Amino acid sequence: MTNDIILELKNIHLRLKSNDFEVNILNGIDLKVVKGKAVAILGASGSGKSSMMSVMNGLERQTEGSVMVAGHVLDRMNEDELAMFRRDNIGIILQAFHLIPTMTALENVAVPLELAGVSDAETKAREMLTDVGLDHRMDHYPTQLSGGEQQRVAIARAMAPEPKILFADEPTGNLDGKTGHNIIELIFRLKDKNDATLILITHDQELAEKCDEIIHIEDGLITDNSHVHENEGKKVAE
Amino acid sequence: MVALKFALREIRFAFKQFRIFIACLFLGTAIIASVGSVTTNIAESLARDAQMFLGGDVEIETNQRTLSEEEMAYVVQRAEEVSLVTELRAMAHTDGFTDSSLIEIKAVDELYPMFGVLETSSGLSPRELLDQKNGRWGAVPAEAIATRLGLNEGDTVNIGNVAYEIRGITVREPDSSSAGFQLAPTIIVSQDSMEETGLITFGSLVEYNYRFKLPDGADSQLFEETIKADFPESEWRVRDKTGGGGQTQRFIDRMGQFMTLVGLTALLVGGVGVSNAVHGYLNSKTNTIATFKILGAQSDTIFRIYLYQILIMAAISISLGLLAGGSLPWIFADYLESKMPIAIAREFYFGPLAVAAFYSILISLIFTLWPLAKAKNISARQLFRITISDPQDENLPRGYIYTIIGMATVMLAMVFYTADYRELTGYFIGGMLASFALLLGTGYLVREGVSKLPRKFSPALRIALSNITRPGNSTLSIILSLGLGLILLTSIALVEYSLESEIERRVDTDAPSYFFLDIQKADHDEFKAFTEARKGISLYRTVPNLRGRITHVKGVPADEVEVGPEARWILRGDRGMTFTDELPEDNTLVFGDWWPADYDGEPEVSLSYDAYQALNLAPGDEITINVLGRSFDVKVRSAREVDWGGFGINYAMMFDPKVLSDAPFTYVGTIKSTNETEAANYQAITRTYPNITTLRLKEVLENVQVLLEQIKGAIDVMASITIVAGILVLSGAIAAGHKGRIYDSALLKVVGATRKDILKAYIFEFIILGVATGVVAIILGSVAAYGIVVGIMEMQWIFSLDIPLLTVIAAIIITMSIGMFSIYKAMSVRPAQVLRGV
Repeated sequence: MTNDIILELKNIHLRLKSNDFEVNILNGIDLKVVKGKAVAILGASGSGKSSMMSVMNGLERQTEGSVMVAGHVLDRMNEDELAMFRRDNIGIILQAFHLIPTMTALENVAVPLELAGVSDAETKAREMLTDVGLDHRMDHYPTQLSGGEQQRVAIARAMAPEPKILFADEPTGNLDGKTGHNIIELIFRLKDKNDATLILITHDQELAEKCDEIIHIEDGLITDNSHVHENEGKKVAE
Repeated sequence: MVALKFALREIRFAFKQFRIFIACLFLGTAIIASVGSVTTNIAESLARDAQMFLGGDVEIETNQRTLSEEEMAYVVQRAEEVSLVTELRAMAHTDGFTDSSLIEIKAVDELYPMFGVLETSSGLSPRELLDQKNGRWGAVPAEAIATRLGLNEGDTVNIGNVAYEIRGITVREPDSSSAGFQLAPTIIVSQDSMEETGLITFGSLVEYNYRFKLPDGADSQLFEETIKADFPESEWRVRDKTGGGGQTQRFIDRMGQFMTLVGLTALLVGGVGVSNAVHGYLNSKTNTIATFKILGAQSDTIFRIYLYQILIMAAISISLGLLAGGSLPWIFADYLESKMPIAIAREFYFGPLAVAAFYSILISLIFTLWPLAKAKNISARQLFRITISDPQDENLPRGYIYTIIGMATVMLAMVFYTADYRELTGYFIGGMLASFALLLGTGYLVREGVSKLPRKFSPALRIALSNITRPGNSTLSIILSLGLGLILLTSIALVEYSLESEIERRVDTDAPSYFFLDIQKADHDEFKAFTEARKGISLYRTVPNLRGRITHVKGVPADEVEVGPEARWILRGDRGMTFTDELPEDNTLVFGDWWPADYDGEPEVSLSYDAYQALNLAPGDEITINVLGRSFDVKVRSAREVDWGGFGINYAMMFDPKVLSDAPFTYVGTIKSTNETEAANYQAITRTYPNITTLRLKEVLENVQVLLEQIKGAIDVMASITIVAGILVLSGAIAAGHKGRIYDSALLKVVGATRKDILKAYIFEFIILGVATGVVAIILGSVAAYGIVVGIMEMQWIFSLDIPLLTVIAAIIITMSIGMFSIYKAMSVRPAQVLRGV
């Protein structure tokens, strides 16, 4: 069982300083995620779910506690080591897509592959874009794409280096219902195809139900860490 | 390679944001490149035609003496040809002596010109122009004197005792640039006619120029060195063709250096624009950089991605600047050729372009490394937080600071090292850096001061104050970019004002109307009686005048005496000297006493205090003087404070009334005439004493005025270029805040602000910044001007309140005018338009 743990948070605290006062964002999070699972993080605005995800993927450094992801302890890594860790292990999808506006869809998808020194980055990027149904939009710039298309490019970019873990922060938050549904289908299809682990932040209970585990977070604490997915009958979140 | 690939992808959309960057670097590069190219072109032209400019391979100049037989025999043995040109100042009078003017006579022999061609309006050969024909000698005046006296071909001009026939007007004089500073325009005549003029008498300030043509392949520099070594005692000045171009070359060098400093100032001001542009660009790239980091890009990759973009943009700007600057010699070749007796080479020279590129690349890096270093530290978490301020600059490696300081030091060292006028360059660099630092300090003070002000004013003023202090404000950029140009303008205006006021003041009070040279001893009493009898004449003053030089100071030969460069003139060649029993009215004794009227003791001298100090003398010390070949020792009796800026006759060396009274001398003198009688008296004196050289203060002042105008023109160009660079930077700074202004304006309208409220807020903001910049410019400009007027020119400081007031008004007008576009857009925006896009 221990060997299957791909992500582990131990007593994570996050405090941010703002001018004269300090805000407690995370107040002691303990979590283990098994490889290959889809975990949903549910919580209200300001509950700390995005911050928790940022700590998991090394975008934010915890004030206290320890983070292990894909066999790497992130606690003492500097910015550049974290960047390399992300490049080699994880993919991130954000609500606001965050495509590079000066690059075409193809170039955007190729970026992480090029940074990793993949020789046929462009070919792989093409395959990835074809896989997400955008083979006709390869040379379009982000401003020439619809919201759904932009998010598909972002998904292709996140999945192109075949990450071990995929983080998705409200990936459908900026999309209409039907497009959002298609995007979720795509994320799950690619996750299964690559046998990746998925950490999904959402407000949407129905969407959370599609995952193997659901974690509720409130005021920087996991309030329901014993939810077990009915279909699987396993308890993994503690 | 990945970084370069990403840089090339990004740069496709970057040109719009780099407009100010390109303009600033282009301007600075183009100025430095053009100055370097033009001066190199001229220098190359001067070197190519060096023999022509000097008039020979080697020239020996002597004053008041011809070469001795021994000296002449020496050169004749070694030179193929020897030509003589004699120069002296004299008066030229029109036919019937109706008009007169000071001229420089240039008497030439039959070999003139040995190199090049004398071009005249008539196209005749030199012999046809100058030789005696039908009992009359010919003369060729410069255009300036022909115009001044209304002389045409065939007219007569009287010089001394000869009535010359004008046979042509000079179009191009091949060797004119080798002449030193000239008080008056030249008239070329034949050497053979000089004796008849009667002008060369004992004591005449005549200069002989012996020009030699050496055999083919002879080394002119070696000739110069050998002759100096073989005749160490000879009083002469030897020049070879490698130093040809003389005055022109020195002038070009000086102007070149001055204009290079202008270019560097523009580049420095432009550097602020470059920095702002890169800062703005990188700020707009925060999300992209964060995205890169999320996707695994390391800080160094980020640094390289944007460094490459900046280098590409810099390369484009610098190349355009070099192209423009390097082409300038072609564009201005015809103009330069019309102003100087040279043929411009019209070539691209790699050297000056490389120097310009070097400076520009350094400036680009110095001003962009900081924002680049900040950008590489942008964290990936930036995507999750809304930022309105700059990325945090914590943990910036010190290496960047050291690199920036190192590059700045290299650049300043190179500017300083390549400068011939290091003191001036040092002052300039020091002044620039001090201004830069003080303006930056002012910017911070304004921002801090405003942030501490209570916000109890009208809403418009409150918004204005907030705009000055809010995160991402342009306060520093605006004050810095506009400030440097305004400091220059203020100081220039104040120096000019002081200078003009001082000249006016002196002219009004004690200035004589005429200066007389070469009054022969025999004529003196009669001349005095004649002039003093004229109506309106006052303050008649004449003093004996001789020329001599200091050969030893306290027994040490003059060329071994250590003196600073500013006082070297005291020991260089012949100087004017006088003897008198009266202390001049405008001199005051610093120490010692004046000779009693019937002094009959040992030979003694009174020195000007500056000469006394420079030579490190004490009362009773001995110096050795050589006057017309005779040496004698004199003791220092006193030192006088001399006002060299005045119009009176002053001497560094005044001897006791006895020691030189038997030596041959002439008189120099001054007379004041009332304004009403000035013209009539001038005509009467010059007509009656045609051989006495008369300088008219009116004409001298006109010449000074022309010189001042030319200097002013060059300085104005400098200030204008700096202002243009400043305006470019200012536009960039205001444009950078434009988006924020529109957004603010939309929000203010949503909460009920009228367009008038918004306009008032922006006007307040620009007035505050304009006044702050103007006040700093006044203070620093006044300090600089005071330093120049009192410290360098040693003149009286006269301040005018009008100039500082105009500076502040100019500062407000410039900021307002540039800001108006932004203000207009902000006022006319419809809130929904903006808010929809949020």
